[in-house]
Amino acid sequence: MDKIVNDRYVIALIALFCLQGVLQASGPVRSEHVEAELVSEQAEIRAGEEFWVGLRLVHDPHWHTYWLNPGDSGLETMLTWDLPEGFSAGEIHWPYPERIEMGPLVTYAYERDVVLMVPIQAPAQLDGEEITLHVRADWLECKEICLPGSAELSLTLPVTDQAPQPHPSFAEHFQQARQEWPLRDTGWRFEGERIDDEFTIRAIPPESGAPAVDSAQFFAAEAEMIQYYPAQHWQPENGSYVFTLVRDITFRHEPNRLTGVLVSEDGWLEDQPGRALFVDVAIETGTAPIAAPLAGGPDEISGLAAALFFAFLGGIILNLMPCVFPVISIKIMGFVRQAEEERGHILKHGLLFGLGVLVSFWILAGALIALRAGGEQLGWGFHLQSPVFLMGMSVLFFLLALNLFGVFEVGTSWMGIGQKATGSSTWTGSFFSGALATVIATPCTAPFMGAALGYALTLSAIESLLIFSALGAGMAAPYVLLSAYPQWLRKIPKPGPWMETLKQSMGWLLAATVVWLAWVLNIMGGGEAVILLLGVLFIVGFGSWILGRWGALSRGFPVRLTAKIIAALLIFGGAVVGIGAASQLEPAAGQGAASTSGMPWEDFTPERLEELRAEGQPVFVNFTAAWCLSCLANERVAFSSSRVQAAFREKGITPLKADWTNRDDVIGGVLAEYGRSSVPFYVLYGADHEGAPITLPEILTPGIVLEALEEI
Amino acid sequence: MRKLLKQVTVVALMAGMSYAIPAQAQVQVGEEAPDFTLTDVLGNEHSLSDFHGQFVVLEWVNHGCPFVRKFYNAGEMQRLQEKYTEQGVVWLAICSSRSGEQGYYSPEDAARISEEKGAKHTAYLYDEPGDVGRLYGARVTPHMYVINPDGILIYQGAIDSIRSANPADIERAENYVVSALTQAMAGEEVATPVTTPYGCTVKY
Repeated sequence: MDKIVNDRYVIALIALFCLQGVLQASGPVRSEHVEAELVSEQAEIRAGEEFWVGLRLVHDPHWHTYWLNPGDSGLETMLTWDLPEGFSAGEIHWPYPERIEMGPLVTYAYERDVVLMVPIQAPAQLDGEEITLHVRADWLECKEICLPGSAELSLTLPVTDQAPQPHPSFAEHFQQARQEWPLRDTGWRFEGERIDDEFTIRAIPPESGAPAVDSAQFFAAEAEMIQYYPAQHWQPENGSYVFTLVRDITFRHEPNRLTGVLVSEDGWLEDQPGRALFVDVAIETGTAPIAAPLAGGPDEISGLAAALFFAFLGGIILNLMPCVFPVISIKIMGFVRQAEEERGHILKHGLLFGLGVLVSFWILAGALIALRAGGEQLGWGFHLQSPVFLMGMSVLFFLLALNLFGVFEVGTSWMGIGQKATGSSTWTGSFFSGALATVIATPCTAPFMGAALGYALTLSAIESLLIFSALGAGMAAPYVLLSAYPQWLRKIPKPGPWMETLKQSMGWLLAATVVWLAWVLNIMGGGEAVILLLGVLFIVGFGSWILGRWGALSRGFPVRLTAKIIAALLIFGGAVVGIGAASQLEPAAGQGAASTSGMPWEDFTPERLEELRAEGQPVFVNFTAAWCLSCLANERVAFSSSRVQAAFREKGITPLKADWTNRDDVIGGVLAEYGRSSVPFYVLYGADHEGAPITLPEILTPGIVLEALEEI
Repeated sequence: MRKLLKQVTVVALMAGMSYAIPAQAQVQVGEEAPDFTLTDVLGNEHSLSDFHGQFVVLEWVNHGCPFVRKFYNAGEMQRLQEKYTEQGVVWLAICSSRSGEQGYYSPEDAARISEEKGAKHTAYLYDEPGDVGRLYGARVTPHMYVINPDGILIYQGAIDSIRSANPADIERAENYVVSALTQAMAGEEVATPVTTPYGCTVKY
């Protein structure tokens, strides 16, 4: 190879001597691996005109010199002009670069022969018969190794007063070089957005049409903006194209625009050749959507209408959830009582209850949307991740249970029981029982709801609210219907002593709910929190007993007043102390949705998942929480089945548990990637790491799990 | 080391899956410089954590690279190595060239070249097959890093401000390593903590 190179060098030198008779002043100059020459598009120059000259670089095979932005290493080629008086040189017009990979490093450079064109302005007056231009060119030439190259080059051109003739040998190189300039003013438009370290750029073709661009590569014109190595994932999307870039994390610039060149073999315009397209795109930053965009999200929901339908259905089913049932049954008793009353009154109660449900859904959803927009990774049922809420709820349920047991009576019952349903205070009672039912209902993710809520939180705020409204409407629907057609309740026996029995038995359901809340609190705050809760309940219970014993109407006024004051101090004081102490509780580390299923669950981390998948191992991920009753039911029913456990072992599936009992931004973020915002959620990955994961329904049976395992 | 191997394995697997390899620096100025253990020309092991409490300079080196030669042939690199090691700074020259590529020498040759050039670094370390270079995101030779006595990275990037292979430029340029060390030793913030490095591609 050296031999050929040397021969070429000798021939070039001979040519130089013969034609010009001037050494190194003009003609090509060779460094080790690159031949450089200052060339002109025209054979002559005329006063007052702009003309183009260029540095022509001819590279040995696989040797390259660098573009405007050299990339991970290298140096851009530089020109330093020494021009006769009155002449001025412009900037280099760079042909599009090539991407050259060296291990994990990428440079932007030329292996092909190029002409780096520069416009030169001649002065209005030209003396003499010829003009000589001088330039010093510095470049870095690299293959695996790098060598600096430089040359003092010159070019002599005759002066003419006619129209200048094109240069016989070089004019066509200039034509070629112009075609390698990035196309400008083409009608292509760009939109850009940056979220954290990723840019997403959309390229929109002109309305006049453009060829299909199957692949393209972006080259950043400025250094320090993007990482050069990562794949850009060019793909068509709705008539335009989308690609991604990764921010240079070393510098952490916050660019509000990116400039560069897109290169594609397919070309960019129907009527004009050219592989390169100039890009100047404004970057919008920080407008993170309410949730991460759906990544292979729930296919079962195709549109807003379907989501609304499922939300409504889910709302109806919510009424049957164990955590809602007590409140609901009490409400039914209210209806039974009301069944004797005026139709208008009954309907009004039903509507107010429905309104209570709806308004509280709006408040919860509004808070959730606002917090998520603020960047919090929260999901439905998030308030059960707060010890304060758990403490408050326990106290409230305990009081309600005592009230139902008849320990004390409240003059203005919130439930409108034992009251004439005509007083205005019971109107608000109906409203608030609706609100209470909603708050209690939220942790019970009914079937269909998980997908609907996940979908809802990826939509605009208005659309999200619509979905939550449908959910609330679904939940309230049975009562509104019953209140509109009270004759449906005729079959229920007339009010009588049986109602007192029912009332008291419902008290036990509420008491059971307190036990459940205490258990969740135990997982979140440990035994200390439960002891605190028991102490608070003791005080509250003591206050209730005083209220019932001495606050009843049968007592004289002074006794009643004293009893009420003491009771109020005990009940409210106890509750406030309890809630205050709960707010100090640190979530207990290392505890979570206790595994009772006998499955060898490992703790979930995204890294662990990535690692197992990279090793080609099948993985099952269980997104769960202690406060999620459906999750626990699934543990008991599906995962404790010996057949299921045997199938896991047989197939070598690693079970991972993502415990969302306490707020966890990582798990919240992962859920969002699947388009979910609630648990339970189950994903099964096959051994083939390219394959899409299988998602399982929210209510599991051993059969459903085994069937899913068969598919991988 | 096992953790590192694991990382590298994961990275390699990801490459097979046509994911992106982070060619970028994994290290960030202001954060703890990750620990590593490498062997010098005499076979002695050196860990970054051995030097806790001292300033440490990392110099990615390849004696075949013209940008490295620019500083060694002018005597500038040796002068800086001598000046700072005398002040208690640890100066580690690291070669990440793959065996058989430019800049990779046998321990005997490397020791001889260092001696011929009069290098005054604390140690010349082998980083074959480039794990530490990738960990630090070293892209070129010379790519420079400065770590403070608390183990925090305080500078990464070019050796100086004039991107050329011409020794005549050394005098006119601001040497960023000198600036970073001077400012940090005086208890000041490093004014220019990150720059774009220039030089030859590291021969991974």
